[in-house]
Amino acid sequence: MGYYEPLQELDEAYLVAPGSTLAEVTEDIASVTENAAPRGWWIVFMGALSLLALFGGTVGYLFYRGVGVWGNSSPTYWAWDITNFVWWVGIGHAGTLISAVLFLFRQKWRTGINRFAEAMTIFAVMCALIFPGIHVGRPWVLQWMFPLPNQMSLWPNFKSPLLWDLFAVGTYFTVSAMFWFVGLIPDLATLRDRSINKWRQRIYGFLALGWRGSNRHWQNYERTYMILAALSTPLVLSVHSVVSFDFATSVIPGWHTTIFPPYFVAGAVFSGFAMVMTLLLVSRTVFKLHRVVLMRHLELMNKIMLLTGMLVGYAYAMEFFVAWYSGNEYERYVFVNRAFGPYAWAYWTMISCNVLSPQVFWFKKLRRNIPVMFVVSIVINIGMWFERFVIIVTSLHRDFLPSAWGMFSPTVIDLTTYLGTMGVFFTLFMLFLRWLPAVAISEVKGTMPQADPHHHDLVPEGAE
Amino acid sequence: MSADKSTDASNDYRIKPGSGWSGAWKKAAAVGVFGFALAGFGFTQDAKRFAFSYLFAFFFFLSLALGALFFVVVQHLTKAGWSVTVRRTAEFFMAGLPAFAVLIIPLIALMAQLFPWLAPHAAAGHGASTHAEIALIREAHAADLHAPQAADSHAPRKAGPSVVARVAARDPEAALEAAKAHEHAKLIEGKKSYLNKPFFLARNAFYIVVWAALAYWFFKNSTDQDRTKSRQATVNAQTWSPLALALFALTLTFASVDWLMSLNPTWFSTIFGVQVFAGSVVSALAVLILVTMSLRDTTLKGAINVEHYHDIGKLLFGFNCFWAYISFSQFFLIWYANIPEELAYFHMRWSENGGTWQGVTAALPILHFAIPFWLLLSRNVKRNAAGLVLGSVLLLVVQVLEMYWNILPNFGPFAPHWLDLACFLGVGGAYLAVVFHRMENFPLVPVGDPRLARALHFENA
Amino acid sequence: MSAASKTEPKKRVALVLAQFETAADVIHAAAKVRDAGYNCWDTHTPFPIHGMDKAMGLPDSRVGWLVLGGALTGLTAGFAMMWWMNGVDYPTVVGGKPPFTTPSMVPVLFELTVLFSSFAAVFGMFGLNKLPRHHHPIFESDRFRSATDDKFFISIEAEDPKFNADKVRSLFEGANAKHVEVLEEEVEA
Repeated sequence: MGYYEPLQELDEAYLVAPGSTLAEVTEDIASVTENAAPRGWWIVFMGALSLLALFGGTVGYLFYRGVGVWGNSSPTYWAWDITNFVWWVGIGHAGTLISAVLFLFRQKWRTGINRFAEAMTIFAVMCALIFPGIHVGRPWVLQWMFPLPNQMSLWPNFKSPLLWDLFAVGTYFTVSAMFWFVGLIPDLATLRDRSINKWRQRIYGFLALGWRGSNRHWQNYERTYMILAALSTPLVLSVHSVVSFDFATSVIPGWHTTIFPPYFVAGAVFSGFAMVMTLLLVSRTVFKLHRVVLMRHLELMNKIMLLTGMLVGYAYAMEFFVAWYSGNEYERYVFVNRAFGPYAWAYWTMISCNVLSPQVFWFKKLRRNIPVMFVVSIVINIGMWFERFVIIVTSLHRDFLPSAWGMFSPTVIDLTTYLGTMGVFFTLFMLFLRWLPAVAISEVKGTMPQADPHHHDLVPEGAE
Repeated sequence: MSADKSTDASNDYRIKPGSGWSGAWKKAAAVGVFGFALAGFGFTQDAKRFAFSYLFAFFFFLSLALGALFFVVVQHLTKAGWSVTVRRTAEFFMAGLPAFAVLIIPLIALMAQLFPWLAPHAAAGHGASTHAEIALIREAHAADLHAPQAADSHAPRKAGPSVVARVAARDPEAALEAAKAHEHAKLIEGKKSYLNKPFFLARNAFYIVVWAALAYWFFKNSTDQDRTKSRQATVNAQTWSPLALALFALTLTFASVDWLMSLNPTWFSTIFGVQVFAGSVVSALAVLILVTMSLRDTTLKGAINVEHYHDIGKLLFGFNCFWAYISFSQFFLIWYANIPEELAYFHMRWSENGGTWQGVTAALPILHFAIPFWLLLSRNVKRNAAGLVLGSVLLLVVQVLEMYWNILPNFGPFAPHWLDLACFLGVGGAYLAVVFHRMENFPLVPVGDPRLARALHFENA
Repeated sequence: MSAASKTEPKKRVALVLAQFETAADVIHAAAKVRDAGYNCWDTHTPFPIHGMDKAMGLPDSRVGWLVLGGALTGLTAGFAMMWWMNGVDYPTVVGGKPPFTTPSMVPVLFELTVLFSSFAAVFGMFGLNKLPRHHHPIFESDRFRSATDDKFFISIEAEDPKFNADKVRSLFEGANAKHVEVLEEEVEA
């Protein structure tokens, strides 16, 4: 598609600050990896490293003592571990949505933020994968999760949603990593060609695979990128759908309901966008990326958060309505218990954070207000964590028979495990910001007027 | 950008007199009248069958019109440039929505034929079709009403075997049926505060008003812009599109609960509204392709080209995959959990009704997903008129089939009836007469839209 | 390296490289090169330019076919794996489902189809583009560093049967090139 001057009367806006040159875009983004890191980076990185150390200690202790150090108990055998797993997988989904779905819909504004979002996906999925790894109790037989026969020649049970999870999240991680790397190749070549010392040139040169901007390459490259986007779109739906199957294939009221797959996907995208927003606002300030990350991008992301927040609200409402409409007393009880039982505080936290807080984005003033969006993005992430907590714990803690009722309370180790994965995530993310181009340089250039050969004059016959 | 191409004055994008489309609305109206006449005769023969056949026709065309409304609203919501030239066609199909305010009347009149929850003994509606069984249910019901008094007597434990137990001794199978029906009656009783006639009517009045208002406003806003060329009109449409989308989601969901889900009032599924939504968008996109395709060499010449078809083709493919995803999720979760009250939906379409629906049930995943998936996957097919038409026709036909499959098993075994066709012609003719009438009176491209130039020069990346 | 520094290596012309200032210039020039009938040539741009495939007269990319192959492989392999493991080699009844049952295979089948398709897309693209290739005579040019920044290039390789350095140079200069240079490569003994 060609370049069009935005029709400002129709609320359209520039995607790159008007008047920017191609070289300025390269400079803005690439110099982040070349200059000394600003103090803000060091502060966050040191904080992240401390949490990473906490993570190491916690997991060591967990392996030494066993999963009893968590608060999981009868009847709440699944609690924070799976809550955190679902939360992290969900956060990853916005990355794929921004890079793949918005790409397919030709939403050019994605170019300002897609690299962040993809990096976030990969690191979030890594954090998620930690939980199935450490919650199994016997991490030394972890290979039993894979389709390998055990000593009794028994194969894994392919009717188990937990096994599908392994395939889904594993595939998701692999495909996202490839998608990310493919997107990085031209930008790594840019860093290679700008490098002033030999080591930078060797390392970036090695990673850039000898990219030389050839149009014969671009042709296959663009097709591959498009196909990966087309594959990632159903993949991202499938991943959170499979995660939702972990719950929904059971017969537990509050877990078994048919809307779970799309509801989980919407929630995932919602929380992921909130996380992208949080990270983006921090990075934009620390690394001064105002030329490529405009208010426009932030505003559009706020609109998507409003939309997905409403979708999640729709799912909450449908669940509640159908629980009543089903006439099933267990179904009805679970929802009454959620809203008015001992975990009502968690339920109403979830509703206020996820359904009410994004409503501020109806107002243009608030949608364009950075402190407001920063706070709301964090509030949404809290709310989405509570959503998973509510689904998991309130459905389990009161079993079918009152004799099997109980309450769940987390331990300090639950808390440090969760905070520890934050350390894993932020350490990786800070390293990414410092050493890789945090905005897709070649893609941003593609949205600029200079990229459209028709923009300045007409193309000769036969070139069209 | 070469501005000279965009202001092609030779085409006013109106239906030319004498072309196949001129006067199409009269033909549609004639078909409608014929259909209604036949259906009216059918009504005198078999009122219940008429009610189900009519509901099938009504809901199919309604879902098509709502799908078109969705398409229009989403184009404004996303400020889409590429689709401006096809948006008007969707607007015509959306503009037929007010017709359903009239078309709904027979359904309202015949509600009692459709909904077991309206029957005087709700229990008789489901799972019990013979008089003997109904008699047993009544007996069981009556006994249950007296049960509390029995409990008040001096020796409650010696109140004797229950009615069901006594019936079971005579006829165990009938007793099981009776117990089931009794359970159903109790369930339906518990839903009275939603499933009752006044509230049902009020809800439907609300849906109809919302749909008619949205269709009227978006259509008028867009057609007025043809004259005024006002950019403000586009801004207004963009401003109101989020609210329109929210109203659309709300009304479509509850209309499908009311008209489709409550046909079997003990069954429930939270994803059902989304499933109906996915199907409605598939129908609308297929119709959009077929209608614009038939006009592309005449009225729409120069306005819609292979690039647009490629994009609508992608949307059709995408939404059909979405349909498959949602339908599979619903089936899969019900199949896996294997809870009888949920399984009833698939039971009715597989083993019940003499197994007559098995063929349709098995054909749906193949015709609605497997074949169109492989067909429309290819870029070349989406860019090829014949291939895209084939895919659209197939999807439109299976959408009709799916609606039939959604509704008619509640009536009985799979046995197509001439009333199905009569009602389909009647409702379809009436709705399309309104749509085609609009098409004849307005340009087929929103000539005042400020993004028109982009759509005219649109090229797929 | 050390051997090369002792005896002056034999060199030959590898390609002619022209630099252009704007996307419009390079696409015009590409159309001219195409019309002049060259085969072994390429454009180098910091981002893909739309219309360039047509301007260069390139056939459609073949990545899609590789992906189709990957998809079918993943689907078949996944089906065979689950059928063998749960249906034949060690059938078990879990959750009241038959040992071999299709609906519960769908999630894994889907994931494996996507996984294999993506492998085919990425590695297929590397194969078609002959990447990684860290050494190429074009990197001898210092100016070429800006091909990943803000300049546009066309190269015509000496391998081309119609190649003639002077003719190529005049073709480029007639097409508004800002700078034209001839690049050499070492000839192996």
